[in-house]
Amino acid sequence: MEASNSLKEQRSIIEDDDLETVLLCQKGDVEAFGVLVDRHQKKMLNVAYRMIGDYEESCDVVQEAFLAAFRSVARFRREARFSTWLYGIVVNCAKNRLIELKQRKDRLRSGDFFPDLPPGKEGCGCGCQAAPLQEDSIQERLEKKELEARVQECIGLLDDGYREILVLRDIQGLSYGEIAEVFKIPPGTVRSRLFRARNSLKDLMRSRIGDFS
Amino acid sequence: MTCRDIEDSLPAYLEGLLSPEDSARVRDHLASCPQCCKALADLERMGAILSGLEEVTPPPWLKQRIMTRVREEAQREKGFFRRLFSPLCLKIPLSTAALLIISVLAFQVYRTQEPQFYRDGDLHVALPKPEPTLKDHSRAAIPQPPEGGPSVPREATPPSAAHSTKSAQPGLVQPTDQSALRLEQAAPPRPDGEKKRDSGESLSGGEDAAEPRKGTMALGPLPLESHEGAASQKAAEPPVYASPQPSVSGASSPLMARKKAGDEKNTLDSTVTDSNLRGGSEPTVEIISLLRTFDAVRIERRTSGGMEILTAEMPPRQVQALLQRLTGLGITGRAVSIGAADSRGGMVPVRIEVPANH
Repeated sequence: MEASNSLKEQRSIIEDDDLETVLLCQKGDVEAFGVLVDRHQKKMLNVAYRMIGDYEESCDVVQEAFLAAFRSVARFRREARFSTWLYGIVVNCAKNRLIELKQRKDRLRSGDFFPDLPPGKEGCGCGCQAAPLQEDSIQERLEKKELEARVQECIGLLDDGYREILVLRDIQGLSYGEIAEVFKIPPGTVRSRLFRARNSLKDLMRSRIGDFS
Repeated sequence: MTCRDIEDSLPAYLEGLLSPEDSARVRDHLASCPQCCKALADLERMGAILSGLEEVTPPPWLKQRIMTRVREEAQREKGFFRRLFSPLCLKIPLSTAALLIISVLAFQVYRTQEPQFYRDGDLHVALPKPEPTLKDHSRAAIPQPPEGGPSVPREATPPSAAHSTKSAQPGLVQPTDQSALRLEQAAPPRPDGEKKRDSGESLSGGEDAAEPRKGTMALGPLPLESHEGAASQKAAEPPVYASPQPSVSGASSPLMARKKAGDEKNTLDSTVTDSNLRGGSEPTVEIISLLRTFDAVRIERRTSGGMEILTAEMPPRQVQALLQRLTGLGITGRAVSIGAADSRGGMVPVRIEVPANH
């Protein structure tokens, strides 16, 4: 009851900067969709990357998600923000891709977790290559990258239901209400899952990284 | 409350979502438990690491690739609708269906317009024909002027010769159009009956009986010739279609006026029929000639379904002779249909089908 009331309240105060562009898309303006791609591709890529852990696979997932969004943009009813709706598509595409990758990994029986292309590898889009190394010491930067790679590895070890919520909340900074909209679950469920996800990740990091505090 | 319970409550404690009592309880426990304090510190550090994770940057080709796929998708959707309404997919089937429907309708209309014959053995008996009206009989006495549509015999016969032939017949005059006009002007006022006759009403039988026939008989392509008239004129007068000049009884001046009134229409009817009789296969021409020989009138020819169909009306006594001649030509059986004789003892409709390539 509380959840539905809060959803209704949230729907009534939704302000979406993408609304006009989305309306153009719904009228068949293909180029307007390019504006939306420009505006959201980075956030979507980060969500996909944090869920999958592979840069190229994440790019493919984002492409697939935008294409799916274009196909169904006519059915977008503006009950949530466009970005929230898009997050849902990206998360679903990423989950499907993870299943495919897991099946492929099972067939190959190699590796514990993706990424096949860890940050720092040539061609990675995380900016590690382009960043000016003069500002930070190389040692500090390498340590940070290594820590991030391990954290990413730990994120990948979380259960699916925990990982996506943790990524959206703690990495992308979505509100509980938005996450509830994405997964169509009550905000209380979001909170409980998130707290369990954090504790799980903390335990994983302790076991894999050691003392990180 | 155990350390595990406290650790489970720590995320909510950090977010400030615990009740004041629970928060106080956790705070008290943390003050006395270094392990839970370490867990809290780990959680805080982990949150900082997660929020500080470096963002990945989309490659420059990502948007291009997405938009390429999106444009392809949009084109495909347009293409689908275009294909749906394209000439190949819709217009040709539509036009074909329309053509078929029109053809079927035209055929049905044609079939309904055809004279109906019922089979009776080898001969086809026609539906009872409406009685000819007096108007039609009177019209039959007036040979229709072939003006405006030259008939085949007229072209073959010199007008002067034809005129002399007609003049030789007793009791017949050969009026030109001008003489007919003069006769009409000199004629005394006609009785009402004749006026009615001129205006197209029938005097034969009651008015009730005549009314429905008015249209059918009056609109025939050629006037129905009276039986007696046909019999008496048969020897000296060429068949109706061969008549080069109209021959009118001198005593029928009102009919002359009527003739003038209906001149234009009769001329048209005759023209249509004569032109229809032109050409055709050799057997058809021969049959037409036969029909004329046997006093047939209202001879019409049309082509349908690879068959040339000749219809005419003729005296009943000539039917047997005609059938014998047709048998001699190899036209028997279903190819010849003889209708029922007119109830007033008039003409018998005849229908002869000859293959177009006979």
